[in-house]
Amino acid sequence: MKKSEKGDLLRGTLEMLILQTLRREAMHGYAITEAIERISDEVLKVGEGSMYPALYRMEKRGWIKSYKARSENNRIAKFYQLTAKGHRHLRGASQRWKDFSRAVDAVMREDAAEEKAP
Amino acid sequence: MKEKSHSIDPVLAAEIDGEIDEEIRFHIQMRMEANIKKGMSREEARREALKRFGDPGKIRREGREILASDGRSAMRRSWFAALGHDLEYGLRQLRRHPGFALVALLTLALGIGANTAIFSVVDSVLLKPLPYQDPERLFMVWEKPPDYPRNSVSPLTFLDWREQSESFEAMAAYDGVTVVLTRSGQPELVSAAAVSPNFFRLLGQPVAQGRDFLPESDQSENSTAILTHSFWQSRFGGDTGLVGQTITLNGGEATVVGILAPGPFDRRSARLFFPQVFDPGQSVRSSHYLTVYARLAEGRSLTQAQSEMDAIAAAIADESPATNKDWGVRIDPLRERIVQGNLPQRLWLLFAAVLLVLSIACVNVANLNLVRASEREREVALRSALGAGRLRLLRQFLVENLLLGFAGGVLGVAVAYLVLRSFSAWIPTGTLPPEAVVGVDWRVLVFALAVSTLTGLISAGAPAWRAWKQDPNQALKEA
Repeated sequence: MKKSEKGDLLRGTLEMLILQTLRREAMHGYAITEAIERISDEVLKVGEGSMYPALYRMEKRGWIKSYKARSENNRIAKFYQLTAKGHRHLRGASQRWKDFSRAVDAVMREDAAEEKAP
Repeated sequence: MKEKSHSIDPVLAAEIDGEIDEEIRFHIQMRMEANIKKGMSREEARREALKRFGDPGKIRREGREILASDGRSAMRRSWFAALGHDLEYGLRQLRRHPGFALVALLTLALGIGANTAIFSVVDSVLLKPLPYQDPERLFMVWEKPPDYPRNSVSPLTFLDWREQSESFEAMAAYDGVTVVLTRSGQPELVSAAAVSPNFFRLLGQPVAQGRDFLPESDQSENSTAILTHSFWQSRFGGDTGLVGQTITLNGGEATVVGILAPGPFDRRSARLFFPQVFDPGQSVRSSHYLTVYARLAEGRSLTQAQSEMDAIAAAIADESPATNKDWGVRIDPLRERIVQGNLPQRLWLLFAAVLLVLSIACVNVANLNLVRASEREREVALRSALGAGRLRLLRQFLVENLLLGFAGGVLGVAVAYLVLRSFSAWIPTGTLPPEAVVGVDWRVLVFALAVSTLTGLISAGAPAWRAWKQDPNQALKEA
């Protein structure tokens, strides 16, 4: 897989994860980091900060919108919230991911089955 | 999808940086606090948080590229947000140092207040146009004796002037007298004036109630009177039915035909006016007691008027050499009558003095700012390291000091207002001309605003310069 493709795949996956995290509630950047980190370390190996360009890109596309509010420790922070458009994109991306992982699983199971069989 | 990179206006770039800046700072701060909770030292916690975040500069650049290609609305939103944040930050900083804020505020308020008050005086006396109609066409005309700059005018001469002059479209004479006013029994002495019937029309002083005097030809007018607004209020209690009633002047009856609108005549000595009557005994050339006002005709210049009047005076001198030999005419613009002697110099000197006081106040506040700046060095350095643009830091200092300046301005205007209100009480009457209305009008407010802004900028100058030049790494190392 070419480096740029890997980057795109990673980026697409990161975006999906962010949208999924925001599905439950609006959060600021740091909280999103924490939520995702619990799930996947690999994605954020390039640095926590790389999430922010992704957020800006998604806001530009209209998938999320931002507003300023007080955080849990009473500081002003920028919160992000899922939009209707973002919801629709998430459904599509989520479906595509399920199809993709099912396909990969199917191939791997076949392989494993072959290995088991003498 | 690769974003196209446009060349970005540096000021806008600084604005966008501000937004991204805040987010990055918040994130790293949160991570740092989480680390401290895990048991790391402050230094370790910060280092780990920064390492884990990645390169803030790179994130800023990426973010800037993404946001910049969005178009103007994002820029404007970002700009307003940044400004709002700066204001909030500035207020917070001032609240955190209430001692400094109070001292600076009082210093500036006094300086700005003094300047505003004095400017009000200077403006009303020297700068504002006179409260008459077309005041630059109004003049005072005097007889000029051979060895004196000016002299009062005799009635005969006045009448000749008025009849013969074409350069002046109107002339009116003024004769200050004292009359005995009797109303409801009690007689009292009142300063008054006998004036030509066109006196108020010539100046453009409106009559608020009733009417002005009719032209001279009407002899019945001789027993009429016009009162000033303030006299009507003080002596007659603002009686709305006064017009049409009679009062007793010097034993004779006079009908009140009009009351002047509020204006400069409220502050002059004459309280009431009646039409001038020249009795033959007084109408000699040697009897000089009139003050003459004149309005320059349309399309005529002062030089034309002067030469014309010179000619008329020469003719009069020829006609009666016994009284008028070598007597000429002196024409003065009305404004020069208003400000006499060295009043203009004295006022400007006073203005310069308070301006100096304000400069000292600015320097004091700038000094206080410098002291604070050195205390905030580490904070500034850290923010620089995190990527806060120098422009952003500069702007925040500016906003903070402008806030102080404006707050000082508001207080200062309040001080000036109070001072000016009691002004007439403590300066000797007659120092200021009656045409001058000293108070806080919009001109004064504009001046106060300008001074406040300038003050804020100057006070911010020193620490802003310092922050601009600062090397962040050096300051960070000095733990």
